[in-house]
Amino acid sequence: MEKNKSFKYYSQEPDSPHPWNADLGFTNSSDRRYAFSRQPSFIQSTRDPQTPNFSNDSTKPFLSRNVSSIDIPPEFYTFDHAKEGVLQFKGSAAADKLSGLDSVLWVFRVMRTGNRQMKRLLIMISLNVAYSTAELAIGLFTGRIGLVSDAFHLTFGCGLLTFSLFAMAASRRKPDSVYTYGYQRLEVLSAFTNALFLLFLSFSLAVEALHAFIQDESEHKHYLIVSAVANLLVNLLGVWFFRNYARVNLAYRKPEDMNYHSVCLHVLADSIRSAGLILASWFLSLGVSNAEVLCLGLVSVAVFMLVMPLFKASGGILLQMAPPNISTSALGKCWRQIVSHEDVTEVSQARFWELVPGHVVGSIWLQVKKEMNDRRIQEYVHSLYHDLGIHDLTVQTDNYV
Amino acid sequence: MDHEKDPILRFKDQMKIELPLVSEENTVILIPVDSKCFSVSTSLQENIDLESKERQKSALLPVESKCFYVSSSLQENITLESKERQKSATQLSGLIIFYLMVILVEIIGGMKANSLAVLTDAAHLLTDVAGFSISLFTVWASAWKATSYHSFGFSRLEVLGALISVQLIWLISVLLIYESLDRLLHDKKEVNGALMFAVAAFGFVINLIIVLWLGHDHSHHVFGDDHHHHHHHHHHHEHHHDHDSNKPCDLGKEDETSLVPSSTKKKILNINLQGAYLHVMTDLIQSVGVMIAGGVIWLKPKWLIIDLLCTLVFSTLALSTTLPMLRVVFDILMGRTPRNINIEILESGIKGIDGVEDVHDLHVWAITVGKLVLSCHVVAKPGAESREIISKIRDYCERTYKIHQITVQIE
Repeated sequence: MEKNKSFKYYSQEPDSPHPWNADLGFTNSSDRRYAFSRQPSFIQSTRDPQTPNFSNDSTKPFLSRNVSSIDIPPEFYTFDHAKEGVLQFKGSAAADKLSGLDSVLWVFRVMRTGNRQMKRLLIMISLNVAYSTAELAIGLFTGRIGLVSDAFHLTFGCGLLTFSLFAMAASRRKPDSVYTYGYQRLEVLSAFTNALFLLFLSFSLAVEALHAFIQDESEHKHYLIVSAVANLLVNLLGVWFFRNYARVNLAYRKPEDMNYHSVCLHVLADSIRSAGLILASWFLSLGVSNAEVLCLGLVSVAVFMLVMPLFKASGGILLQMAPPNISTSALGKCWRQIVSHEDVTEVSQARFWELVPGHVVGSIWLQVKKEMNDRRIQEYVHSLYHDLGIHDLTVQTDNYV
Repeated sequence: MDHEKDPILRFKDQMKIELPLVSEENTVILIPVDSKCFSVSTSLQENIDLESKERQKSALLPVESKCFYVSSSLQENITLESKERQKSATQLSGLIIFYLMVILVEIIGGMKANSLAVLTDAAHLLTDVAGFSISLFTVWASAWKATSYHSFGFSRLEVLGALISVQLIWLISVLLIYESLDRLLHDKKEVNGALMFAVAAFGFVINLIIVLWLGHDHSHHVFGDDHHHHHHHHHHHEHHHDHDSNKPCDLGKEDETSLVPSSTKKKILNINLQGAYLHVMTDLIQSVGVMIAGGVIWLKPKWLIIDLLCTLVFSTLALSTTLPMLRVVFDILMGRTPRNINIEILESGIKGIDGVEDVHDLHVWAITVGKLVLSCHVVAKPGAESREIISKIRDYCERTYKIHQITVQIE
């Protein structure tokens, strides 16, 4: 788990992201021996908050990159101080670009070295891409617009899943001078985008249902059934891959939780949609009128309910809201304890926000009576919030005369 | 009980937060009674009076033995922001009303002429209206006061609203491509080129009017790094006009603000309007494409494929105009150091302040375009007065970089 490191450490530590590692920080995931260290729970979150954050995380077994490695697998534990110092600024500029060749290389890297979820996601994405191109080609050649629209829909979804995959990979990079908090927010962003897409999907399904209701046409599109069945199968495979996250309300403990959850919901919603289409055509063949409207409406409502919690949670993090897993009574208790401290006259601007699920950052302003007890009060405040799990706290003490 | 509901914000805090009214800037520093204190509070009253329209006036500063100093750039921002917010709100409402009228016209015309093309165009305009309403909502919402759950206020909503707006644009472009494919596959017999051309021309004219109207007020280069000198002068004039009483803090401010690209001032206004502007711009580009396709089909009714090609080309063009906006949104949501700030220079600047031995854990990020937050840990030289260090750092950051939310931990 990335703590907010001083970006100064960037020049001292060996494993800073390298400028021409446009393939996005596979330093840490390349070595399977350290797979366990990717678990954020492994990283000692009980770092002493009272000491200045110079020496960060001696517990990190993260790997370092050989400076000149572009294609060769990363060499471990070698680094070059001088070059690092020169190149640290260029890193941020080059970080934004991902050339075509690099992305191809990156795909192979993911296949070789990604963690299990990433590999599964990659498999799913490739399946989806293959399927949708086939569908698009068939649809264009035979002139069936239904297939084409389905193919479009799939492609959109694929694009989103690729973004999720990219987020999974890129969020491992270490913080640098430009992204001082690291890249983990990417996971939250991708979860949010997925949730947004699902909301759009539910809305468009509702529109389709309305359309069917108004038009009252019930054409039997047999070819669509075949495509729906195939779609359903692919998506069910995806649900099975991510079955750990197949819940609506999930407690997010690690940053990747949100991303995986969003992927799972995406796939789940797609499969519900395909199932709904199949059901609708079956009902139509049974002679139930307005079957399409009913089924589409049901699916739309179901997807909406499915997605809302994720949307709210990821939106909350992006909106810099107070962390949901820390109860306000606990924070209030801390507040009261600080205020009741003998040296503190006033507490203001207590702001806590979640960088990613599980990593809370805070800042607080104190007004203190006497001059000399800054350090003691700071330590006291830090320890109070440390118990709540807030480790990154900036305490500003103003001496009130 | 009030205390139970808002355990984090105490009453005193409420007052302080109502002060900036944008619910963010509480850069209140404690300094001993000084000439600065006196001169500032008067202009502060002026500014608060200026904004008394929508918000309640609260008892502003507790008149105690403490003296509160609010930086002048903060006051500027408060008044400027509320004025610009009202202006944006009126512009957006005007846009929405205008578009609704156009939609009504198109629906009536489309039903009379029984033309699907016109009706679908009306549907597209409806999504534009949705985008505008989102922007309008975020303009209104970003004025809400901070609560204990939203301790930074609601300004971030602007950024999320802009993101959703841009997603809507992408959705529309994909829909357009899909529709042109539909036309290609289904209406092979007759595509009425003249009708296409007419509808697209109508849309083009309307969008052009709006682009000119919107573009008249703000610059297109909001997201570039250019410096707009006339904006810079505008900034100067406002500055002099509002704060004649703040002579002490005027000193040295002018030359230092030049370090900040003056486009940041305009940036504060426009992420909402920019979202709306993008909607109109993409519509414009796509109308051009449809016009070309309609014209070609009118002249040569056999070349149906040109419809698809034009749509593809112009949709990509239109989507590429949304990319700068997406970059800004992405930067802000990722907590990236704002692009106009070189963090190395900032760090060395802080280190250069006397009393500061070292800086670490420095984070600068933006709540929304133009609102920056900084937090750092500073190792003080032994014997240095922490209060002075804090106020010096604060001055430095506010003057040079326009960062108003600053938290410094002295170690």
